[in-house]
Order: sequence, then structure tokens, then C-alpha cells
Amino acid sequence: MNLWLILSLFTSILAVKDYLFKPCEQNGFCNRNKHYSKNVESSPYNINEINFNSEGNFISGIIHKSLPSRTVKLPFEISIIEGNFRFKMNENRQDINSIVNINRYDETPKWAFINTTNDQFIYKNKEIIYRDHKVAVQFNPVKFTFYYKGKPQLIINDKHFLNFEHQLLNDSDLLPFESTYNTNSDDFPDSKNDKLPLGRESIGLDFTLLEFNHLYGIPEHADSFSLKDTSNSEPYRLYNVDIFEYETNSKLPMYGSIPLLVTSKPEVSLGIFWVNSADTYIDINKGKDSSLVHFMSENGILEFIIIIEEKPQLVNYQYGKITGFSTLPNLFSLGYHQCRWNYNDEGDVLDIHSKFDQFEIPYDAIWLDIEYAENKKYFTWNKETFPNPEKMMSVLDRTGRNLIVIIDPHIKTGYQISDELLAKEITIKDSQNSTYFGHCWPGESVWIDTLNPNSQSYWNNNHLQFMKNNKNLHLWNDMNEPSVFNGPETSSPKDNLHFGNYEHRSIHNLYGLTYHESTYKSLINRNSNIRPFILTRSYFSGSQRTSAMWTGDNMSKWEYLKISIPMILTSNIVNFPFSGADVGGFFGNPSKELLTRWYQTGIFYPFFRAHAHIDSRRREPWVVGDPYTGYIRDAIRLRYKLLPVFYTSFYINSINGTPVIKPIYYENLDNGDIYDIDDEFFISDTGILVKPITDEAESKVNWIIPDDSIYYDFTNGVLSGVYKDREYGLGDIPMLLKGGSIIPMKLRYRRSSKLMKYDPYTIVIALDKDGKAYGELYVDDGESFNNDHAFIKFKFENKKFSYCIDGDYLFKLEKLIINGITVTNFKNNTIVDFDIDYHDEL
Amino acid sequence: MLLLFLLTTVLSDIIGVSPEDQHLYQPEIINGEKKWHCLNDSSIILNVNQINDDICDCPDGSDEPGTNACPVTPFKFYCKNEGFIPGYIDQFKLNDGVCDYEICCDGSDEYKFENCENKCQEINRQYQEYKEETQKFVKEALKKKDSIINQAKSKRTQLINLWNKLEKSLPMKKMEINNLKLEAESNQQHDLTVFDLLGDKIVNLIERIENHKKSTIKQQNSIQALEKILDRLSKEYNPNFNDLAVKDSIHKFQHYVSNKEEEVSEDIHETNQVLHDLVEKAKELTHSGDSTEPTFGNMFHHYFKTIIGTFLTKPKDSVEPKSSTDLSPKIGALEKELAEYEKRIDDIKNNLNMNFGPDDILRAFDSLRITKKLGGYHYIINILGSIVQDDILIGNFKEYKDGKLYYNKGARCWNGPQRSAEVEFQCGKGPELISVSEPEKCHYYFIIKSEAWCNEITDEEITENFKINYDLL
Repeated sequence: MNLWLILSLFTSILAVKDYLFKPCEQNGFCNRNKHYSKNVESSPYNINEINFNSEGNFISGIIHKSLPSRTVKLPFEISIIEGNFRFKMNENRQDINSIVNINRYDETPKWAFINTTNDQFIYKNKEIIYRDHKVAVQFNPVKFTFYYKGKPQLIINDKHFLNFEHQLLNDSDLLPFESTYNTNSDDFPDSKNDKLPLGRESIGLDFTLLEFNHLYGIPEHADSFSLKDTSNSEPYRLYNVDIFEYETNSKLPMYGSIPLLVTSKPEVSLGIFWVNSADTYIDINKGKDSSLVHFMSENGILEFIIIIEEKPQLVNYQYGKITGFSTLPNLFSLGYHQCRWNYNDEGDVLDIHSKFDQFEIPYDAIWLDIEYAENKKYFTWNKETFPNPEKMMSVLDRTGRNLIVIIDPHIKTGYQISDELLAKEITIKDSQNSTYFGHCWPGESVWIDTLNPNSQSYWNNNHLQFMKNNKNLHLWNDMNEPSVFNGPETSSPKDNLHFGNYEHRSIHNLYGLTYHESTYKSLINRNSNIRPFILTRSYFSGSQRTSAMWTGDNMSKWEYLKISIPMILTSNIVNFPFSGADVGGFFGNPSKELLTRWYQTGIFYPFFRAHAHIDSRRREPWVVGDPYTGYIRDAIRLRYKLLPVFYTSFYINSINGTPVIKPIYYENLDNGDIYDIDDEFFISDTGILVKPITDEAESKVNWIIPDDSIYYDFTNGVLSGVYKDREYGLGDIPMLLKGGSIIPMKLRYRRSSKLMKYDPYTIVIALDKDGKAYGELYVDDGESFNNDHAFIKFKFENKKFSYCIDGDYLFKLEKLIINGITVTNFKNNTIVDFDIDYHDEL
Repeated sequence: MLLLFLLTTVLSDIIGVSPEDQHLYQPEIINGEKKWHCLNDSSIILNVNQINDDICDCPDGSDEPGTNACPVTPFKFYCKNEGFIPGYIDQFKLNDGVCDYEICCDGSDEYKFENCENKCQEINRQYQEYKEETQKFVKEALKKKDSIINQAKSKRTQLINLWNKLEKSLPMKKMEINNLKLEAESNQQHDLTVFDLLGDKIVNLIERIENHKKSTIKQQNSIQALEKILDRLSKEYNPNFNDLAVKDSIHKFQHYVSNKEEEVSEDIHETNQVLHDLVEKAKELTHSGDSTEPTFGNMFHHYFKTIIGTFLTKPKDSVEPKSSTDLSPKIGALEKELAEYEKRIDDIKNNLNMNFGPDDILRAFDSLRITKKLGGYHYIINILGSIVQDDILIGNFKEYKDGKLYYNKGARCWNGPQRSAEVEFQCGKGPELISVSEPEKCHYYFIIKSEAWCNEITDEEITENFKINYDLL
């Protein structure tokens, strides 16, 4: 009885306060779209006018929405952007004499996209033809059917969920199946002050995916990799929020959002890119032969892009051509990051720093959370605890270590930095267009409006003055959802105003992107030849270009270790590979075993950082003691041995979008059993297969072998014989290497990644059934934007190892490990014959 | 026979190997070629050019004393450090771009890139300066330590003197008490009217107790109501709003709940017992003859009646206070004093037996109070008393053991154990608190610098502790 009481007490304390977040039913636009979709009889939207331009690369026209009393004219556009179908639908509104910009927000691409070009296409007989794609256009009601490989793959508005809430001119201006729930006021407790000056303005649309049953993407949710049917649950929601103590297996929104949904089946992969930055819900209904996806957004124009390709990796490529690929990270940022809220002072930082060397554990960056600044006033140092930060940074720099400090978008009122922000009028404004004052860590604060182009020079100057020319200083941008402690759903009121007098409602999900991009520009302004590192918590489509992300405030529990893998896989397949979860869990104190297993998993997070809450115990790798400290040391060292693999994978991602950690279905679309596997993954195309242990006291791994290749035991990064069932002790990291792979490693321990620069590579070769293997390596200086590099292709065929190099950056080979046998007597860039009977190995 | 193959000419020095160990790398001539075998495995024969060729051939790493090719090596890399003390550096620090001047002031750890200037001269200057300062400091510190030890000694002597003094005064006290007791006994028969004076006071007392109880119950009810409100607040508040006032209040409330005394459910028994004893005593002294035994139910009424009936009816003027009535408080006071003396003697004995570190040195700190603001908290450390963080008790001194001071029985943490602490003393200018950490939840670790912990220092220790001032390089 007592025990039960204690347990229930704990769950009530540690659970997310879900009453703080709007469910669909209580969120006006979601409620109305769901009502519409249930009650619509026939779609009132017809194409009335369609014009194909003389350049042959643009369609414009008018869609009529037929009301009982009148017809609403809605202009639309169709183009082919970087080879993909793009649709836009807008509305010409009448002025209502308000401060608010009356136009529907259409600038989401301005932030999310890079420079793109429109392609020519053919339009005839109500068919749009581009590349090897065809889209049949039905006029009445409007409907698009996408054909690829001779078969229909996708139908849009097949279910008549297209809903474009037009500006109301009078009360009878509605269709019978249109609801008026919360159109002019919001009765959700924390949102009662929302003035909704433009009334209802939501959009919704259905996508029928033919013969597709496995859907992915639309992060961020602490849920399975494969999206679930939401017929009997909440829809997935995209609304960037500071969700405190989030729960696993939940469709609640989180810190970031990428409105890209992808799906695959043999021969065809497809992406729906819903180009909208407002509050959004996605309902998924999985039928027998098809899946129905219903997107609903609170406002903005209706815009989407359809990507249809043969393979999922090509969807990544197409999406990357539109939103940009990740910039190749600064090499150090792929090393190990040691963080804690907080390292208290310079002595503390330097003590942690020297302990890494004392325990011979490599690390690359130490972090400072909000306590380093005086009273959380960013761009200042607490002089009592950090009297001489420059000197501290120079000590870190001596062994190639970096310092990463936090700078958030809330600026405390009452000091020079916020005074200037107010004077320049570059703050987020309230609904009356005066500066909005809210609460966050420092107390009363104002927020920089990074949508305002005038904010950049202010931001640049402050970074210059604060960071000076410390080359090993990088940044952490947190709380940029934005998190507002006293705001509705812990964020900005939706009727706040941004540059151009657009409501916050329209741009909410991309604010975090504008913030960290502004920081990126400031860092480039400071030093244009060092690749900046920025960690962001909030993100949107396009964030991958300039930042890394982490999955926010998780807990020291096994279930959070487990869910981190599907979350990071999801981020990887929507082109944001530089992602990780807090190793050890943010809240609470992990057991020794959990901490060990978390490190062993964390070394495969593309972004590898340990972090802990201020109330948790110290847990740097040596605190736990041996044998655990030894296991953790081995794990971190393995990450460093694999840095060439990660760096090369990031390089490949930066040119074609290939995920850095990759689901096993990606290259095995004919294997219908593996589409939902989310506890096992490949590292890029390297052939390294990983299945972390995420259960307590587990020593077995149930490997899913995705294809009929040979797989070798590669436990702890050591190549041995063909994989067999085995026990994995607490010091063992389950890994396999696919036959046919060649991977570059750097096996020698150094204190940091920078100090490994001159060490030679060891080439690990796992032969396939025909005795062949292939692999790649990318090398450059690891930190600048110089183009000096080398891209090396390795080949093992006919008992001969050879490689060819593109570029002239110096690199050195040390030895080969072929199916577990070490060979040292070969020379660079010559073909060498190895007398190895690899068949004996099998 | 092996000797025949030994080479007589000495090759140039093997890099990374100290002069004393160079002989281990003398090559042999096998079939006319210069060969060398791994130090711990003579079956692995290498060409001499395989030594330090950046490829690891020997399982013990002995072929690569001058590179980082082997994961283990039999000895570290030797830096000559001309003009300074030779150093031995881990191979993983070789040729990594870092001038590890702490060990190799001559920069020879980076021999491949030659990016490290020889700084032995400046480092030697710093070292000599540091050595001089350290030796000077230790000399001074040891003087101070001596005086601290003397303080401790004199404190011990003081205690022993006090003990003796107390011990000596005991017989006198005892005798005094006995004399008074005898005197009191002879006056016993005149004591009958002692309670005449107290009757109305007791009535008053009983009424006051009743009233007090009522108001206590009232107060308890309102405290319970408030606790209920706070409990609800602490469970259902919105942590996302991060209102510091709310968070702080909740934190303090949780602290309050964790440290709340067990409620004494019903003290009526005790109160009644006190009254019962009081009246029993009264009965003894009055010989009233009323022997009706009180039951629990009628106890109050019974005693009330007895007290009122017995005393209040008697005329007040018949009370004649005798001198003997003044004796019992005096006896009581003396007995209390005696008990206190005995307790103090016990305390002194225990104290003298306690471990106060080498030379009994902590005894000198028995009234030392160190205060400091660290990491946002204000600490007060009474070395042999309590440690307080802001207004929270971290612990009381328990013992000195294995070089450290232990404190326990601090305020209980919410959802956690009682707070406790360890204090480590280090040699240095002090006494000063230099760091606080919390290695385990609610268990604190303090480091205090003091000359009391200084000892004679060897040259090796000085070398080990020496830190280079890079700003001057």
C-alpha cells in the first residue's frame, strides 16, 4: 500500500502536464477541420481558370469555392521546383483596418528553402508531365493524381478534405459542413487572451498514398519511428514547444518540427512536404491498400511539394536540393561533448578538463549552461565565477578543446543589451505592436525578432564583443521555440507580432530556425573561415544547414534510452542528421548500468553529448568507477576510432542527403518484414550495423539481418569471424560489419579529435561472398571552409587492395585489417597482392 | 654463442629512449643484416629500421618507443630537457601538435613537426622560483603548524586542568547536599501546609492548559488546511512557468515536509500523569486521608475536587512558611549542578579520547569558524561543530577518520537522505574553504586549505606540483 502510494506520487510528479497543451478537440482549427472532414458531402472547390505560361514552367489559375450565397476566388500556382511538384493556393483578402498584416503568410520558403530553380514541364490534356512523372488534374472538384512507373501513387483531395477557410464577409457566409468553433475567441484556459484578429483562416488537405503502409518523418515526437494510425488517438501535432518532462510514445508536440512525411514501398518512395510554419496536426489512417494522411494548419497559404522517387535516399536528395543539405560539421563537433547544468566556475571547468586526460578519455568540448552569465544576462560573464574566461579558453585550446556557451533569445530587461534591443525596436511585439514582455530564466525578458532584417547587425555586434577572437568558442541556442514561461503552452502568445506585422501564429514553427540562423551569420561575420558549431533545440525545415539539434529534456530511464533511437532515426531521414539525445538522461540519476549502456548507444548518435540537470548527481565518466568507467572509456574511444567513418558520412550527407544513421529498410525495400525496425541501424552506407542494448540486464541481441550478405562480428569495432549468436557483456557494444565493406578508422588514442589529425588510417576490410569490398574516406583540415580535401575510394578485388584519390589533401595509411588479419607491408597508392584465403574465414 | 652475433659498434641513439636504456636497442647481426628483437619476445626479429617506423610490431610495444603506433609501451618517451629535469611522456602525446612543456620543456615530444621551441631555460627559471617560494612557504607553514600544534596541546592541557578542578570540587558539593538534606529531614513534620499557597495556582494552571489545548487544536486545523493547499500546489503547479517565487516556495515546503517532526497524537496522558504525580506528592505531604483511588475517567474531576477540597477550605493565615521550605530548591539546584559537573567530566574524558588527527591538531580548531560564499551558497563551517549552507544544516561533526572529517545528521533532503558531509584538509595558506562539491545526492565534499596539513616537502613533490605559467613562455 505504502509502496503504491510512493509510486503514484512519483508518476504524478514526473509526468508531463498534458493539460497545458491543446488537444486537437480544443484547438479551434483542428476541431473545425476534423468536423469538416467528417461532414463534408462534396468538395466545393473547382478549378475555374488555368493558364500555362509561355516559358513552359508555370501554371497559374483560380479555384472557385462555391458558397450558397457567393463564390470565393482562390488563386493557385503550380510549378516544378528542382524536379518536384509544387502547389500554392492563396486568397485575396479585404482590408479590415487592423495592425495585423492582412495577407496570408507566404514566406515560409524564404526561411526553409535555399535558392532553387523552376524546371520546364509539359501541360496538356489536363496532365502535367515532368521528368518521368505525370500528374492528372481533375477540375471539378479539384483533384490531383500522381503517376509514377505507370501507376497511380498518390491522390490529393480524393477524400474532399480540402478546406480553405475563406475570410467571412457576413455570418451566413458558410457552408453547412463548416464549423464556427473558436473562430473569434479561444476557450483553452491559457489561450483566452488570444484576440484572433483575423478570425478563422485554417487550411486542410488529404493525401491518399496508394499501396503505402509505412510512413515516417514529421518530427519531433517521442514516438516510434514508423508513424502510427491516429484514427483512435490524437493526431500528430507540430507546434514547437518547451515540453517539460515529456513522455515517451506520445504524439504531443515537442521542440522542433519538420513537416516532411515520407513513405516507401518496393520501387517507389514518396515525400509530402507541407510548406507551412503555423500550428499543424497530421491525422493518419492506415487502410488495407492505402494510407490516408490529413494535414491541417491554423493559417498561412496552402502550399506543398510532392517528391516521388525510386528510393528513399533520392527523396532525401530532392528535399535537400530544396531546403539545403547539412554543412559539413567542424570535425571537433563530432567528438564527445561534456555538458552539465552547470559547471560552476573556471576551476570546475579546468578540473573536469584535466580529469579527462588523467583518466585518458578523449573529449572535444566542455559546455556552460545558463549559470555562467551574470544573472542570466547573455553576452556577460559572472565575474565572480568566471573572472578570466579568455585564459580558461586558452588552456582548453592547448589540447584542442572547445568551449560551448549558451545564448538564448530571451534577453533580460534592464541592461545594456536589452536596452539596445528596445531602442532599435527589433523585439517581438504584442498584439498592439508594443514590445512584448514575458518571463523566462532571467525573469522579465524581451525577445529578439530574428525575422526582422534589422536585428542581424545588432546580433553581429554583440557576438563580436562577447566572443572576441576566441577560436575555440562555439554556441548553444536553447529556448528558441520560443519558450515563454508565462505564455500559452509555454510559448509566445499567437497574436504577438513579428516583422512585417505578421502574427506569431503564422511563423511560430520557424522562429527557432530564424534565431539559430541569425547566430550562424553572426559567427561567420566574426570569422568566415571557421565552421561554426551551433546546437539548437527548436528547428524547422532548413535548420540542418547551419545547426545540430538534440532531443531536449529526457530522463534517466531505460525507456528514454530506447526511444532516443527512433527519434534520431526520424531526424536523419528528414535530412537533419546532426542529432542526439542527452547521454545519461537529463532529469534524474541513471544507474551505473544504464549510464554505461547509454554511452554505448550515444557513441552512435551523430551528435554525442552527455548532459545532466542541476539537481542530478555528478556523473562524468570517472565518477561511476570501474569497471563502468573502463567500459565508458572504451565506448568513447571507439567513437573516436570511428570519427573518419562519421566524418565521411557527414560529408556524403552534405552533398546528397544520405542519412548518417540509416534505417535498415532503406536499401532493402523488397524485404517487407523490416520496414518498422527502429532499434537497429546502419551508419550511412558504410555497412556498419548497430543494435544498442537498451534493456536492463540484457545480454542477448536479436539481430535482424536485412539482406543475404555475409555479416561479420564487429563487436566493439573489432573485426572477427562471421557473426554468430553470442552473449554481450556489459563492456560489449553489439556491432556487425556487412561483407563487402571497407571502412577507415583511426585506432590511436589522442586527447581530442584535433590531435588525431596527423595519425595514420587503419583500413578495415570485410569481404563479401565474391571476395570483394568497397569503401570511402573524406579528409580535409576539419575546421575551415578551404576546399583542400581528398576523397578516397577504396577497392578490394581479386585479392588486391587499391584506392584512388580525388583531391590532394595529405593522408597516411598505417595498416589493413582484412577479415580480422592485419597487414602492414604495403605502400601508399600502389596495388598490393594479399595472399589471404578469405574463404577460410567464412 | 649468442655473443658472437652481438654488434660491437653503437648506433645513433634510438629516439625516445633514455641513455640508461639505449643498450636495449643494440642491434645484432644475423646473416649479415642488422637485426633487433622485441624486448619481451626474442622470437620476433625485426630489421633495425623497423624501430620507430610508426608501425607497431612488438606485442609489448618495445619497437616504437618514439612514436604512438603501439597502444602500450614498456616505458615512456624520454625528453632530455637540457638545463632542466629530464622528463618521461606518454607516447600518445607525441607529435600531436601540442607542446607538452610540463613534461618536455625542450619540445622534443613534437620532434616530427619541430613546432615546439625549447623553453627549458624559462621553465627552469619558473621552476626555481616556484621551488624557492614553495620551500619558503613550507618553512613558514611549518612554523605556523607548530604553533597550531602548541595551541592544540595547550587546549588539551586546559581541558585536563578543568577536569581536575571539577573532579576536586565533587566531594565538597556532595557533602553540602548531604548536610542540606539532613537539615531538611529534621524539618519535615512542618511541611503540611505547602500546597495552601498553590491551590488557586493549580486551578489556574488547569484552566490554562484547557484553553491552550483548544487553541492548539485550532492552530493545528489551520496548519493542516494550509498544508493541504501547499501540497496541492506542489503537485499541480505548472513547472514550465518557472516562477521563481513559486518554485522556491515549493522547494521550501518540500523541505519542511521532509523534516517535519512526527506528530504526538495525544498528550492528554502525559498531562494527566503530571497532574497525578503532582497530587500524589501533595497527598504525601498533606496526610489528607482521602484515599479514593482516581480512575482515568474521573481523574481530572477527582484531583480537581481533592485539591480544591483539601486546600482551599483551609484558612490562608494558618500557613506559616518555614525556613525548611527554602531548602528543597537549594538541594535541587545543587544536585543539578553536581550532575552537570559529572556530565562535563564525562564529556571531557570522551573529548580527550577522540581522534583529532595527527598531533591532536584539530583540537586547535575547536572554535574555528570558516565562512565563504561559493557557487551561490553561503557556507558556515564550525570545524568541530556544524556545517550550514544558507539556512540548512548540512551536518554535525561526527568523527575524524582516515584523514578526513565526517559530519552527519543534517537536515533531511526532500525524497532523499539526511544531509551529510566530508571535509578534506590540504596544505596551503589558510584556513580557507576552497571548494564544495556534491558527489552524491545530499552528501557534500569540502576542501579546506590550512598550514596545519603541511609537511616537509621533497624535491620530487615540488617537481610534481610545479605548474608552468604559459603566459610567460
